[in-house]
Amino acid sequence: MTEENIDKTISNLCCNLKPVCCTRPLRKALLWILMVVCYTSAVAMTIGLRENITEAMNRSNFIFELVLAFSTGLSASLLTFWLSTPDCERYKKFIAVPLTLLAVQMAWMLDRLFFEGMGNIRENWLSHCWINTALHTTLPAIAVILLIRKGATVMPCLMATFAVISVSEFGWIGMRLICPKDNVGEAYFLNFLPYVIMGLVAGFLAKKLFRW
Amino acid sequence: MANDLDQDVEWAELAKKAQAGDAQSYRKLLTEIVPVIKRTVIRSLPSADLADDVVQEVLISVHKALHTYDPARPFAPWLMAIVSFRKTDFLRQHYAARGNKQVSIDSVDIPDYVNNKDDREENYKDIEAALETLPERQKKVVELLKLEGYSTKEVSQKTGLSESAVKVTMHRALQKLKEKLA
Repeated sequence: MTEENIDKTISNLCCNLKPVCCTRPLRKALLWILMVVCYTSAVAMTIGLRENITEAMNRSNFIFELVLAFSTGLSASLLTFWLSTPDCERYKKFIAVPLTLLAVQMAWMLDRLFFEGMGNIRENWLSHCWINTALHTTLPAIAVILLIRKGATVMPCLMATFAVISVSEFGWIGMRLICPKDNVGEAYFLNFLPYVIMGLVAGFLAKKLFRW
Repeated sequence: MANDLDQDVEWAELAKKAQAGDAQSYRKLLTEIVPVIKRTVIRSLPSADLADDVVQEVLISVHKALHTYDPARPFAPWLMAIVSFRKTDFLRQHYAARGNKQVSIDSVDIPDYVNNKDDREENYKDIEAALETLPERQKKVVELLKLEGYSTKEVSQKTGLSESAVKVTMHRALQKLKEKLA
């Protein structure tokens, strides 16, 4: 490889230059969040809201869990799209926000597990919880992958982690709207398990999936 | 410092024009960033010869990621993030392919006598002449054992000598050759 080859590469790149639109990660993030909120609501409406939704909405614990999950999902989504551009170093300090919120959520789960125990888990959890989870998350996951692949990340693993967190949180909110059981065993372990598996797979595939 | 800032502003302007499709500005931008990229990567590469490969990869990546550059932001951090990413990627592949264990054929230190045909022939002639001075039995054993690669047992069968006799004969022949070639 010589200077000549570099000049040749520059000439080739200049020949292939086409006008491009500047990517706005924030705009993409907001678009995705809007899409996910609409989609989750639509799926929840289609499957049918839980029968005890009114009673659940009056419980401060339930509202707190939903708000916490929404905040985590929102911040993780923003970070995912910010990390999809090379100049993402300045957003690194924002990483603490979704991680702290996630830690609070985990602490809340452990607190509930300690005081309430796992609770009853229904027998048809695979056909009920996991199928509904798949319904809630498949499309948002595909959408987020397609959108962030249009960027050029220099932190593929970190970006994939936050993408999984954001998809998980919005999917989990959807599940809370349709699943009448709020015990730790179902609400946290069973409903979060597919996301953990998805996260592990995404972690292994991140570098290949977001190669550019 | 002021120069760096001016340069960054200029690059940002060129990148903005490149995003709009201005090939001339793009060429100027790419040409100007090449020495900067080279300077940055050369320090952390195992060999300076690899720098051009990384520079090319970075240029291609800059082209692919041009749409992700925000003209309102400084250009250098965006570029350096790509440089660092591609350099790490390159090094990972380089070490995974055991590139650090390979050396270019040009850089191998080959002794002079290998390249110098006359010297090589001279050395061989000396050895051949010394071999000729050996008694017939010793010469035969050296040829079979050291030149043709037979084992002691095979030489023993071919010459009719016992295995220990073959070893003793070989030892004496080598002593004589050593004296003659000294």
